[in-house]
Amino acid sequence: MSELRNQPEFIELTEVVDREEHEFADMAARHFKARAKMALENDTLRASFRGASDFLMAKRRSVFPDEEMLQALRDRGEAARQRSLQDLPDLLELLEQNLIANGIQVHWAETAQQANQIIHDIMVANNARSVVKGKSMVSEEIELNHYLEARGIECLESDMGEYLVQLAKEAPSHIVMPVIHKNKQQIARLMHTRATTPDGEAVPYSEDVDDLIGNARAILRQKFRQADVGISGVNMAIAETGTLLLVENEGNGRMSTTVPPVHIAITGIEKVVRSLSDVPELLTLLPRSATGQIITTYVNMISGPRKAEEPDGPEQVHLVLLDNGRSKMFNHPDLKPTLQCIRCGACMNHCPVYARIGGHAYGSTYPGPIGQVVTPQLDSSGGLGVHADMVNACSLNGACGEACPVRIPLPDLIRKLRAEANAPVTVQHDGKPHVNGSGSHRSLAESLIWQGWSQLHRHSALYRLTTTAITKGRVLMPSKLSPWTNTRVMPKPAASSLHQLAKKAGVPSSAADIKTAQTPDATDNREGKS
Amino acid sequence: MISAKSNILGRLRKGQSVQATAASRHELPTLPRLPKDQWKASFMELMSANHADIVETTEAGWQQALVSELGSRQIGNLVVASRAENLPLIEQLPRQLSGLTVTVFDQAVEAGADTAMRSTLFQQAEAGLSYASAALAETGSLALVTGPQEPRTLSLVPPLSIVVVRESTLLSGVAELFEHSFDKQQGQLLPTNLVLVSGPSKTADIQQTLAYGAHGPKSLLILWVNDLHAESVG
Amino acid sequence: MSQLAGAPRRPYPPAPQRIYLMGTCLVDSFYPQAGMDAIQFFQQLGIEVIFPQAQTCCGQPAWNSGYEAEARAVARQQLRAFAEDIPVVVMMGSCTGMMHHEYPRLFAGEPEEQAACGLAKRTYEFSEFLIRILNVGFHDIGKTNLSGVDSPVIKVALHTSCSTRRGMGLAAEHQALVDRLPGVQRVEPERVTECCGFGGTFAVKQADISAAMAHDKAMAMAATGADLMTSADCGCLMNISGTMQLLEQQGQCQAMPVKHLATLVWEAAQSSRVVVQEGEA
Repeated sequence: MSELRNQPEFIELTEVVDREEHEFADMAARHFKARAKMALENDTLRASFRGASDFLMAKRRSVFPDEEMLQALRDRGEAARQRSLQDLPDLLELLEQNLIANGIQVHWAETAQQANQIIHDIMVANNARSVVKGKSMVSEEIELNHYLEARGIECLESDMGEYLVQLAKEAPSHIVMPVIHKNKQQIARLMHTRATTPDGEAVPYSEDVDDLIGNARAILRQKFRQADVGISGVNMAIAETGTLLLVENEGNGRMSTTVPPVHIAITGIEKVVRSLSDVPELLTLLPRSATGQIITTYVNMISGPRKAEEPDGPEQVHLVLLDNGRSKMFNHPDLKPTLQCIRCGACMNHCPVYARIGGHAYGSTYPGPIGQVVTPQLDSSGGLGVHADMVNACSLNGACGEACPVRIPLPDLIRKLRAEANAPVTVQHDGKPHVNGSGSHRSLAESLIWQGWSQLHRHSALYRLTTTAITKGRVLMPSKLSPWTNTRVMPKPAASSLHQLAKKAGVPSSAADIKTAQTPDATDNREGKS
Repeated sequence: MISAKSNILGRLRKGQSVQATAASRHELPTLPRLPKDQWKASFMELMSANHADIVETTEAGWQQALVSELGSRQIGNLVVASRAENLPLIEQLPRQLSGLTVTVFDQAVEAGADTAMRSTLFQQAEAGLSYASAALAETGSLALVTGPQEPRTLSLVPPLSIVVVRESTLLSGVAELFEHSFDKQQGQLLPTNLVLVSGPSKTADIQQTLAYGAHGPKSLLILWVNDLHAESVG
Repeated sequence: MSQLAGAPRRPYPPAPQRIYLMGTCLVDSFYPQAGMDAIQFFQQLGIEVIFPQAQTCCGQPAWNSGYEAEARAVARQQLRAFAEDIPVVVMMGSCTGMMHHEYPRLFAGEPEEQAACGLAKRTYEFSEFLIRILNVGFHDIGKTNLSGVDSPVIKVALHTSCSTRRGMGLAAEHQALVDRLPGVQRVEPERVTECCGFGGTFAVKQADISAAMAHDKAMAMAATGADLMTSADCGCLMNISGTMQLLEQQGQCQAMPVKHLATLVWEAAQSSRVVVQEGEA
């Protein structure tokens, strides 16, 4: 033990870091609305997300200077994804066939549990005790670390953001930038109090980003060198060539897939494309949309373990293909475009709700708009029964849909999920595919309100009677109507409705009402052709 | 798990008649590629923006350029692959630079066990010398085709990655690289690991602040060989 | 006079002799004068305005909340109210989006599908109609005293709703319309494209998040220092101005009056000569 760890400052900082861990755990244990409220009240968190959103939106804009080109690219991205999905089962079989020909072993998992078990079995077969992980959201989705650690296997995240999140005992708050919720000072405290140098010392306190990264680099290099297994995600799987394509900037992805003797990749079944010719468009869109980069530092295309004559590279490469609800999305007539996603995170970077509550408030692996759409549809998530509140946390402003590089109609999908959550029994049993938890949030009170609303607005006489009553009764309107007036002054209805005013002014109500007489000088203002 | 596979594929086949919302656009014209006269400038600009150091040299002069860069950067240990092009270097470099050890990447980085090569790579190596198969203009990238002559970790583990690339290999972009070099119909297969490199390793994970040398090389040095205009460049 | 950037997003007919006006339910109860201002403005141009008394609401609140059958029943009433082949001018962008984009989907496979598609095609947002179809110009005739503000030029903060900006793609039309008003200087708040947090039932179902968004928008709006704020979406107007007023009571900012775009247009028409098909040969 170093003396550093006995200093009062160190103990003090440790308490701060422990408190933050506790706050995270406390938030994670609550319901969506409570989590959102906690996030909204946390000024540090708000500043982190606002800063990150502004930064990422500006970066993205800078790499799409030409609006027409951007739209042309999005057309192609959408087409490429839809082409792939159209042939999905065939492409998966073709992928498997070519991966096997390349010496890559393929495993199929219907559920998160199966995927975890497959990975654990591979580890057992190789007497593996330690894992170093490249970034993989699918491994987060199946809670792989938890599964393996419970079986005595050390799992270390190596993406800088993921590593820091793991040190903090938290979860990623963004799918591309996992530690976006913490500022430099928080990370400096975290590294200082929780990281251990290869010499077993505490890391000296520094808020300098180069120092922080340098220290993490030194610690993780040691781990790459020693790990028995490397686990990674996949950005695209190319069927015709049997290739796994990964993009990254740090080099940890290459490390994880190259240095340990066994590489296990895991991906959702939707990530397959047919051929190399499908790659360029998506590769143009992905880093630009994600981080505003023209290309990531590394594009790593793996088409096999090391060959006999090759001096390095893993001896085994495995791919785990995960369903976990994806084949159900594939069958849903409205929600199928969910599978077009390339996980760039642009939707969350542009979402005004995400910018305010951040990723943890969603309480799911995938936050933000795509998270709101994907999460309830994953088998492992508990469906709409658990996540209906999340689906309501959207103002349908459309910023996500506008940013999506593959034109997923995210607001439409969110609205559709609301309809699923509220689906009446007749709809739930109409024989069509439905989301897990369909109808679970149908409340008698709310459905009665909407039925009443609908009755009122489908009968115009009743509607006019009501608006007249509202305008006449405006003085009786309460000045407080929670929650609207908690943060707003109550709007006042006008003294007369437009229906009344128009009628009083003799505005025709139908074409038949139109009198021939018009304002005499009315047409004088018209110039040119009519 | 055979049943998992057939269950998944069975469900997907059932859903194949379900159309995605938007009409599929199959027949979009391909986007224009960067005109050839802008390739080199684009490559140089993007690579420089991504913090790569570029030294323009010639076929006759690049080894000397390498010597001078190794010297000025005070590199004490250079790892090179076992390939014909490196034979003269292996022999001459230590003579030209007294403090330099050249290690040849000719033995396997044994799985699991911490062998000599692995320990050299992670502990002693200060630089690795690689050869790019192509340069890509639109993204500012180098294509590394790994294999016995280009080990995967050579361009990854040492803190300085040096890459020799010839101007004659410059292509518009990744689409052309795939069409040009990896057409399966013509028997051009992908290597076990094809890597596109577009700068030294980096991260912006801490408060969006860019830091170089995350896990891979801290610096990328490109020796750009003007092999197309050999006669005109001194 | 501002030039309009960008090609139109859909085909537009020549200026019609006769239009329907869709007031929308929020204008009906909260901003009826804006509806009357629009009616008077069109009538002054010699356009016959029909205001069907049978109209109610476009159905969007239920549709956005996932109550599709309830929304459809209400939308059906609008198909009846606006049955004839006459262009419909809508006083709000979000309701325009509902009728233009969603009605065809809402009635897909229903007996009214054709009628819904027909209505969708002839539905136009207020500023869209003024700019793209009428192409109005306002010729200053030296009577600038707009809104009674004692200054030759008033500073107007424009809020373009998300449904107008992204749903309908009419941000440029909104700007162009304000820019064409004589004596008006258009300003826009920081993060102009960001949602104000209204979102219909979102403001109630996720009140805390909505309030945080509204707070930021209101503060940004107040920071423009404009004399008044305008928009063609009354949900946003009520949300932003209601928040601004409360923040003013708490001493956090200075609120400004709000006016629907149609009211600004009608006021401008009082002090200028309005011409249709400005600048066309």
